[in-house]
Amino acid sequence: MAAVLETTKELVDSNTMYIAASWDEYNSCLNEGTVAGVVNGMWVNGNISNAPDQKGVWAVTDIPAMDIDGATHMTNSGGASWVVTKNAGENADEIVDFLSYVLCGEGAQEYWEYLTEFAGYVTTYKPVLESGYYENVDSEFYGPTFFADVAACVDGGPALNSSPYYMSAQDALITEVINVVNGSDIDTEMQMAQENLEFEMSE
Amino acid sequence: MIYSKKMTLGQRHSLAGWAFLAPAVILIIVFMFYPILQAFFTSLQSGNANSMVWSGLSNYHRMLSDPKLKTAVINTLIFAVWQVPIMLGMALLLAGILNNSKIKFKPVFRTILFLPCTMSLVAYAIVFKLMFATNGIVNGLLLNLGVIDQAINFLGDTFWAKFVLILSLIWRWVGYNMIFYITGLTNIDNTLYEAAQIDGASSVQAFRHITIPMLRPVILLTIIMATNGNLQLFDEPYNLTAGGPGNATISISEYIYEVAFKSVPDFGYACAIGFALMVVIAVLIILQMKVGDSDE
Repeated sequence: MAAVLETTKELVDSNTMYIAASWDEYNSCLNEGTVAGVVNGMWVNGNISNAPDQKGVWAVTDIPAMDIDGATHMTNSGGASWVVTKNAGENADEIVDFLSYVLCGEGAQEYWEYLTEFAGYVTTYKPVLESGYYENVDSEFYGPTFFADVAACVDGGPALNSSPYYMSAQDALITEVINVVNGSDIDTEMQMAQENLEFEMSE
Repeated sequence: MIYSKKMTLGQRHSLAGWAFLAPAVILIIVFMFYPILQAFFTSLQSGNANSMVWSGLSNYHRMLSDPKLKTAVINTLIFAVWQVPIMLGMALLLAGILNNSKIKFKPVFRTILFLPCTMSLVAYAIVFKLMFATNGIVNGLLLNLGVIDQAINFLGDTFWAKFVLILSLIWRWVGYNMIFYITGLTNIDNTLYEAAQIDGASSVQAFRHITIPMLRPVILLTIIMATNGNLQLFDEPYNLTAGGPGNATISISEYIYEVAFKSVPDFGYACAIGFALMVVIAVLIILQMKVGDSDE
């Protein structure tokens, strides 16, 4: 994490990277062509395509891996989730079976093809990725190779095990990054984030 | 003994009074006192919404070791300490200026100055957010005037975010408090000022020795209201900065909202913080009233 903080601070200080202060600013940077690129989940393609004059100038690539063990070129970050609640009661097992079938079982290919056409989603489920489906999907805004490029990037990303405190952890890390960029000391910030998260997770 | 079956006139009047008050009293009990009581009971429980268990004062104990709550308290106090004096000072000054008989179009100025506090809290916070954005009007103005050569990321900087927030609060509430002071000023007898003038006092001296002492009750009231409002601040931090760049502008009420609704909800703890805040505000108000009355 310390390496991430140092790199981020370097990027911001050298004016290579800009951290938008709010969601509208983020969007306007994307839509007005103020920035040359963006680091985010591939779902941000929806936001970028809101500006018609940006058509055809965007492409997708993976980011350079950090210089530490286990670093990858891409990762998973939240995204849409399916959750089975306690209210499912005795039907819970059946629901889990159904979801497994649809998301990563025999029904997966059909399901993910439908989602791509419907909303531009891309799966990280390898059999669907490697099925060659994404080679043939066309994107009007981004061009014919968009989905194939994304599918090619999605390789070797670490699995994401989320707990109910996923968002709290994410918030704590975001706070860390912003404070470090604003001049705070890295070790102090990391410790504060740890304390905050531990407190939140405690009873 | 013979009991009269008829009520006296006095009893009938008081019964009629209670009958008229009853609807309002019932509504207040149901919508104010009952929720307060329920909040207190919730603060003694912990756990998730459907499965809360009684846990005594554990939530209150937990507050003492909460690092984020400490940040929220410090932020809220910074806002109060900076915003209240500046805002009330400006309101007093403006009231003094607008009370001058030589100024024309006073109603127009008073209306213009009062308008900010009639705006919706959310709307004006969003407008301020747009104004102080990196590509917003304030940066544009500063760049054009040559004051800065690169746009300042007001809302992304921990210091400037606080500054913008305090500025927006002052902008909003100056007019409101000014009206209180104007009303107070019109109640001051003009003969006092004439006497001061005859004695050779300057307008500044008159302001210090006549205006402010005579306005003391009104000033005390506005201080109490301003402090109370500041300690419960929520709308502005939430809409303007969403807690600010990395918790720089999170206020106590905003933290209560986060605890209750963001991530894993903890209603018991949120209620505990809310209750503690209420006690603190009550104590502060009592203190302020004691200090205000002590020189009478």
